[in-house]
Amino acid sequence: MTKRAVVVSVLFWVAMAGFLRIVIVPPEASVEASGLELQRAADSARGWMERAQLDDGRYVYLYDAELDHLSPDYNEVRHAGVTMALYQAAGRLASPATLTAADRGLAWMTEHLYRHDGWAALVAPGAGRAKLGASALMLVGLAERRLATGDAVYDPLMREVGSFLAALQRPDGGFHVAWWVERDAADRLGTSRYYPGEALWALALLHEALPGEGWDVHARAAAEFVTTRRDDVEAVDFPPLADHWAAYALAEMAEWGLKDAEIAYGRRLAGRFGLLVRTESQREGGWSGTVVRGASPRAGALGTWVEGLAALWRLASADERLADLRAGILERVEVGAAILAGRQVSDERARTYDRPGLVRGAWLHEGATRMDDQQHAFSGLLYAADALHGRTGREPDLPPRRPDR
Amino acid sequence: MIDFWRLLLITLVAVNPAALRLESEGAANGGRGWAVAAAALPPAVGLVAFAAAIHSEFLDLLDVSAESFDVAAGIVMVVAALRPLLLGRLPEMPVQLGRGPQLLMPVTIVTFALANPAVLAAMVAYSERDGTGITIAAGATAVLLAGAVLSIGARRRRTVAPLTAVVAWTSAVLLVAFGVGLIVDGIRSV
Repeated sequence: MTKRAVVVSVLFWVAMAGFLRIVIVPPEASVEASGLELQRAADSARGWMERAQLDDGRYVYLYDAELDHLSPDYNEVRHAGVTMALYQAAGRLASPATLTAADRGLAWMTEHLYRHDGWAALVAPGAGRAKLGASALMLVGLAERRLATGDAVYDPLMREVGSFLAALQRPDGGFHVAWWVERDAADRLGTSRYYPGEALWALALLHEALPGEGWDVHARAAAEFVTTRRDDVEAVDFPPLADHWAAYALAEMAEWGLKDAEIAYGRRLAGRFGLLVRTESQREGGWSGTVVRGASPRAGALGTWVEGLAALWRLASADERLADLRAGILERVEVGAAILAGRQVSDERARTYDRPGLVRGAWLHEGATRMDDQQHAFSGLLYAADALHGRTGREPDLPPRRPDR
Repeated sequence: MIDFWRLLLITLVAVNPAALRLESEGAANGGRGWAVAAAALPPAVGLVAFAAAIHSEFLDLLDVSAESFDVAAGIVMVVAALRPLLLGRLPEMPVQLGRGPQLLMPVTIVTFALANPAVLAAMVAYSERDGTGITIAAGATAVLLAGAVLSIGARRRRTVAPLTAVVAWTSAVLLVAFGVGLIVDGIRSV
């Protein structure tokens, strides 16, 4: 009886160890990348965004490399996001060609503005609905352009777009998600999990660009909403929502002085991104992780996690209340970015496709790439490289460059 | 200092000396249970210290981050607590004593009852979080205390048996709580 109990006990724990190893803690990928390697990968992604630009300033939205098929779909929010990333590239990689491409992307947006009651909003052709997220990312792009060039020519437009965000802001600091053009009214029914974070970051950058105009009041209200109420309002099942936009915003607002609740949110957010990257690392680490964790997410998702972590690393570098997270975040940033860089399509592999230029420097998911894959991967890699280099600011190093007119 | 007492409590409930003692009461040990416990203590303390000391190398060997390991360690602790929690006792320990080489099996069993999977998992997890030295100190102290409890004479055992059952059950509840806490920490950590 007793010997049997011992044998059963030993077998039980051996089985338990096997279960834990396969299901709970599969091996994580042993990946490393230097800041320079990440910068090269980011530069390659920048190249894709430039090459993928169409004559009218838009970008290739979705390219199925396996079928050599270009999707006719388009999305103005993602257009604004890619343009924003190009401005980041123009500033940080000091590339005039990139600035030109970004300005063409901006021109498409300025051609599709809807103006009303002193504000301006980006509306997709024929849409009749001005989405908060599209204008928010457009405003972020304008702010990035200002940082990259020092050019104040779009300041009035920044104020107009900022006024649109402010017009959609609710008393609780959250936002209505859109404006119905024909109904001349805010969309009070729709919701969006990510638009509030985008608007928050845009308003924070607007205050940084144009201080003293009161934009910080809107940004602070939005920050309070996003950090304390948004997940409840949006019924997020496993809060906090992995919102990299909010991370960008908090990093930007660190110098303003953040409330304890906002810092606590930043801590929770770092944990969420960390868990996601650890899970991804398990997917990459071996057969058991691949089987148990399922298919990898697209680069657009992994990129946002790296973006978020890199932003929280900057926040942790700026605010001592998060200093204890700095090393751990950096570790996850490196792993996430290294996985991302490792999945990028190389020049050699790109040559095996029908249109190498639309595959080189891109990330394929089920044989296709969408423009925001490159956008988020680019930003993630760029700021991950910054973190590895110990660079705590996002702004360009060089003095602002004024474009030739 | 607070960390030490917290770690001591965690490892003590992971060892669960009260449940160990309840289990060993049925064994026909001929009054020499103290000898087995005494013989098991050095290897048990050694195992516990070893687990704490090599935590970093162990995690590297597994290719697992400390935060992910916390989740697994927490699960081990919760599972280890289930039996004493549900039955009020641990798996039966065959501490039937013989002489000479026949002592080897009971000593081995008691060693692994003291340095059980929950204790070893906790050693690795908490050593990574709180530091190796303090974790070894707490773990070794817990094992020594458990050994002392196991060595108590049969007459005294009968006197405190009802209390022992309550302590065993309470320890298991605490172990579940610490295990769940470790799981949650592991999920929420960067």
